[in-house]
Amino acid sequence: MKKNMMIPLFLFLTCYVLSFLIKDTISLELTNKNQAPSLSHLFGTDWLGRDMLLRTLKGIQLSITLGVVTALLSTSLGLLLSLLAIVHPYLDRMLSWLIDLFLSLPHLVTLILISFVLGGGFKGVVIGLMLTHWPAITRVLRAELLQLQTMPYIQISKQQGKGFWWRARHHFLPHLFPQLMVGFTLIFPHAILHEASITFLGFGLAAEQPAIGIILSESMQYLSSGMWWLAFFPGVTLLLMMLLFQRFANAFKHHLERDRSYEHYFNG
Amino acid sequence: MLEITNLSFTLPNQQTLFQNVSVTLHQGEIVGISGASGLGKTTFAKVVTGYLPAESGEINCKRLKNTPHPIQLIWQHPEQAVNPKWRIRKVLEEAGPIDQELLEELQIPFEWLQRYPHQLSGGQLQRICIARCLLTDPSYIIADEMTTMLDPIAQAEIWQLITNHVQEKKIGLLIISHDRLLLDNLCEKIIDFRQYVKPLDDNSRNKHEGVRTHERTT
Repeated sequence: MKKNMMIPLFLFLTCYVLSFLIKDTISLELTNKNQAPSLSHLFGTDWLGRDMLLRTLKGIQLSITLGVVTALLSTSLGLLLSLLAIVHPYLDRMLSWLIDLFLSLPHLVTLILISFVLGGGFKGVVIGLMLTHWPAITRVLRAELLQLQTMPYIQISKQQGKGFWWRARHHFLPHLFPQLMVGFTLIFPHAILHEASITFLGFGLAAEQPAIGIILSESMQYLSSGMWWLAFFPGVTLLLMMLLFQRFANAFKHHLERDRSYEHYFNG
Repeated sequence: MLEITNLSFTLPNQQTLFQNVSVTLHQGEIVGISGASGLGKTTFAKVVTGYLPAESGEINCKRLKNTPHPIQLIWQHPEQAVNPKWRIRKVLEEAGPIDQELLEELQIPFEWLQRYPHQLSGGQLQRICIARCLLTDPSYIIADEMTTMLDPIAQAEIWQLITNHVQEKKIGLLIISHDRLLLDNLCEKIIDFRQYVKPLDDNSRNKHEGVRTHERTT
């Protein structure tokens, strides 16, 4: 039980921390350019002779930071908005309209628009991703809250003089937690992939930032000349990191939702 | 003294459920309300305790902001009335600080407090709900079919506990029940709820078949 959770988390964090130890500048060795994977360069080298393993790790670090920040921001935004929706039916109508509006537009179009207006870069991409990924989770949370509100124990809580935020914290949050967790784990890889695609299109991160999206989009030009390792290894690494994270999130959810009936509430 | 005057309630489909209900309840008094299913007794209880807005009429007891309502309702189904994700301790603490003496009086062992609601039986859970209601220190209590799902022995036990407590603390108790014998035994006064309900015309009876099918001539 504990092992299921700790091993993926440990591997994930190791990769993440490891990438911080790498120097910011990866040396160019033009004599070693376009090398296939070997023992001295596990992931091969690119057209400038840069070691692809180091570049991938650096890229993963940036992508994970971006994914976590975005997923966190959009789930919190979703939670906040769905709570507002149950304050008053009027707010609920407004929110539903807003959700419909955002869902009716393709993610990528809105994302490009927002990111472009904000001038691109890390900030632009994060805000763009946050503003495009909240509607799905908000809709799920809102439905759950509307149902919870009709439960007798919520009405009793109200009648016992508890305020809205007290109820939100003690009654709603424990019930919403599984949805929040699932929403977070779904948005996280989604955000990274969208970041990669928007960068690929040229509206996202600047070319000198070593994000996975940049690495992949650059490698596209070299794929036809047989340099498969430029795209293969970064892609597989990204996939592995996603799987590790998903494993951890799943185990964590099970851990939090375990049957506590026979655990001691009081110390001792 | 709780005074309810000319209380009326209309359903969302514009049908009047009950009209001009007037009830007075003194502190320490036990009053019963009887009537067949679907007459609106539970809705009446919910209106009086502030769960639903009244259409017209006066209740001289209102809730102040951020304090428990002085009239507390005990629900028919205790398993719906407690948050399934909370331990009993938290359920009780929501109403107020836990009173050891009260728990002993209601025969709630301390050990139950660390359990989850699904680890208690219906009767045990109903006692928890009563304890929670009493912890808010109410002036009046409305017991809505409080013991319908219990066997006669458990019913007798619970009524004994609550009537003792009510008389001791001078709380007004309004009992809603089908069970005429129970009301005869417990109450000083019994109100027949049928007198406040307008007979349905044939038209709406067809539309809402089975809502009010009682004999009105008895």
